[in-house]
Amino acid sequence: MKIKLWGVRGSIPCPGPDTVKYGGNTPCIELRFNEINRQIIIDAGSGIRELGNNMMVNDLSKGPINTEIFLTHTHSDHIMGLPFFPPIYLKGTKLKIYGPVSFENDTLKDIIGNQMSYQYFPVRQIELASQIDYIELKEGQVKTKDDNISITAKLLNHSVLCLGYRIEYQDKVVCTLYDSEPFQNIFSIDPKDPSYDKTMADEGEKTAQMQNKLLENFLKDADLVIRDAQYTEEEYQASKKGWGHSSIEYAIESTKKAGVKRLALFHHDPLYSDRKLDELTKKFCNPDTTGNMETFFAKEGMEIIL
Amino acid sequence: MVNPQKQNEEYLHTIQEYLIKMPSLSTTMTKVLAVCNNPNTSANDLNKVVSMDPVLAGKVLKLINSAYYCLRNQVNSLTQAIIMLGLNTIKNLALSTAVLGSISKKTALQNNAMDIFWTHCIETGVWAKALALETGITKSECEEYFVAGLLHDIGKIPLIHCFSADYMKIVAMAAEKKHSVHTIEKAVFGLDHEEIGNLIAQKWKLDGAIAQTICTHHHLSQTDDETHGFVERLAVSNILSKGTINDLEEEGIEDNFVKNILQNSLIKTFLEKHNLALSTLKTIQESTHTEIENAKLFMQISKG
Repeated sequence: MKIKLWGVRGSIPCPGPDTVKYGGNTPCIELRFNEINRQIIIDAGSGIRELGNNMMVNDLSKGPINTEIFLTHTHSDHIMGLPFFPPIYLKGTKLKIYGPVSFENDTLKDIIGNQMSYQYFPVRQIELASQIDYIELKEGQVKTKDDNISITAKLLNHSVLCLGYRIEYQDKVVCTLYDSEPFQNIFSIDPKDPSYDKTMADEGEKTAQMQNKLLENFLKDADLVIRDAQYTEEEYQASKKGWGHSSIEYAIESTKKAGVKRLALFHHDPLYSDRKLDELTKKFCNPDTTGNMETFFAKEGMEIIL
Repeated sequence: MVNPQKQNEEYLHTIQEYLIKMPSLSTTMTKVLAVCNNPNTSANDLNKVVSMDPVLAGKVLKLINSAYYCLRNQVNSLTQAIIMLGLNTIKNLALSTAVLGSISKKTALQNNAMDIFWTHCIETGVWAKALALETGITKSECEEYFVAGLLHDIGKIPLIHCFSADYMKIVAMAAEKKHSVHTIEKAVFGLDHEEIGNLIAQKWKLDGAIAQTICTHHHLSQTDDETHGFVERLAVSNILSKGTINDLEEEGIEDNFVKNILQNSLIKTFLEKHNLALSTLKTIQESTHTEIENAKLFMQISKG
C-alpha cells in the first residue's frame, strides 16, 4: 500500500513563502493498492487538484478513471477541491463519493454538489460528464466494491458529523483521525455554578472518558495513523477548546497508548510557518516524547509505503 | 353518510403528514430559540431545555441512535447524546425543530392544551425518576426514566395539534364519563395515542424501554418481560402525575391524593412490591411540585 499526502493543511489553503516545505493545500490523501489496481482518496481539500492533474497524466492512458473518495466530513476545507479535480469532467470517469451527513434533510449529493451551482462556480453538478455516485456513511463497517480492503468508520468529536477511517489491507492498517477533538465533559463541574448538576457532571465525565477510550481502541496497533494535531496544548487550553481539533501533545500521548507504529501529525494550523513546524518537530518528534512510535509532522508530497 | 373506515384513513393521513415535520411544543419553543441563538449558551442550559421538550428530546435520541451512529447499545441519556453529538449539532437540531413550530400559527386552544400536556409530561418524568431512585435504580440510570416520562404521551401531540377542538371534547368526555382517554381516542380516530406513539417511535428509531413505555403504558400486560419493571414505574408515575389531561380521572381516581392511591390497584401492588410507604410518595409529590414550578420558571425567563 502506497500513501501519498497531497494536502496536509487545516482550515484554508495558505500558499506562500512560509509554507513551501510543509505545504499549503488542505486535506487530501491518496492510498494506492497496485496489486488489486485500486485507489482510495480521503478528502477532497485543495490538495486533490494536484492529485487530479497527476492522474490525468499517469492514469488516463491506462483507461477511464475509476476511483473512490471518502470524505471525513463536509466542512469546506475538506471538499473545496472537488470542482478542480479534472477527472470529474471526463466522460467515462466513474467516481464514488462516500461521506457522512449530519441531518437527513440534506443529502450528501446536495451538500457536496451545491458547490457546483452558478452562485459559486461556472459549471453545475448536473453538467458534469462523469458518473458520480454518492454513498452516505454511518459509523461502522463500510461496504465497498470488494472485500480486499476493509474500511471501518468511527464517529469523531467535531462541530459537524465527522468520521475517522480504519483501512486494513492484507496485514497493514492505516487510520485517519481528523478533524477531531478529544471528547470533553462539556457540563459544568463547578459546584458553585448556579446551573451545576452533579448527575449531569458525573455522566458527562464518564461519557467523555468512554468515547476517548473507544477512539484509542479504533487506532489499536495501526501501522500508520494520520491525526489532527492543529494546536499546541498551550494554545488549545488558552482559546481553542470546543473548536473541534486536538493538541499535538494529546495526539501523541493517546496514539502512543494504542500501540501505533507511526504517527503523522496533520491538519496544520494556517498560522504555522515552516519555521514553526520545524521548531515543533524538534520539540515533539523525539523518543523522549514519542517512545518507539515514529512521529513526524506531515508534509505535502510525502510518500509512505507500508 | 360518512364512511368510518375512510374517515379513519383521513385521520391517519393527517397525522402522518404532521409527523414528517413535527415541531417543538409551543410551550418550549421561545425558550429553545433563546437558548440556541445565544452563542454563549452553556451545555447545562442546553441539556435543560432539551430535557423539557418531548419532541426535541426524541429527535436528539433519534439522531444519536439513527443510522448515522452505529452504536452497540442504545443511548437513552440526553447528557451522553449531547457530549457525543456536540453543542453545535444539538443547537442546529433544536433550532430547526423550533423553527418548524414558529411557521404555523396556533390557536389559543392549541396553546393551552399544549401547556397542560407539557406539564403532565414533565411531571410524569419527575415522578418516574424519583420512583426509580426509591426502588433501587442507580442514579446514572434514572435519566432514562425521566426521558421516558417526558416522551410517554408523545402520541397525543399530533392529536392535540391536528384536532384540538375534538380532542379537548374527548378529554372532557373521559372525565365526565370516567372512561379512559385512550379508549375514546380509539373510538373517535381509529387509533389511540399509544398507537400513534408507536408510529413516532418507529420513525425516530426509538427502541427498548422508552419505546415500550410509549406503546404500552396503559397496557402493561403487553409489555415485554425485559422492560416490564421499567414500564410499570412509568405507568404508576403517569397516574400519580396530576396532569389536567385527566389521568387521575382516567384511571378512576378522585381528588384526594392518599385516598386515591389506595384505590388504584396498580399503585397498590407497586407499593407492596417495593415496600414503599405512603409517606415516601407524599415527599416525592412535594418535590415534584417544586421541580415543576422551577421548570415553568425556566421557560418563562425567555418570554419576559
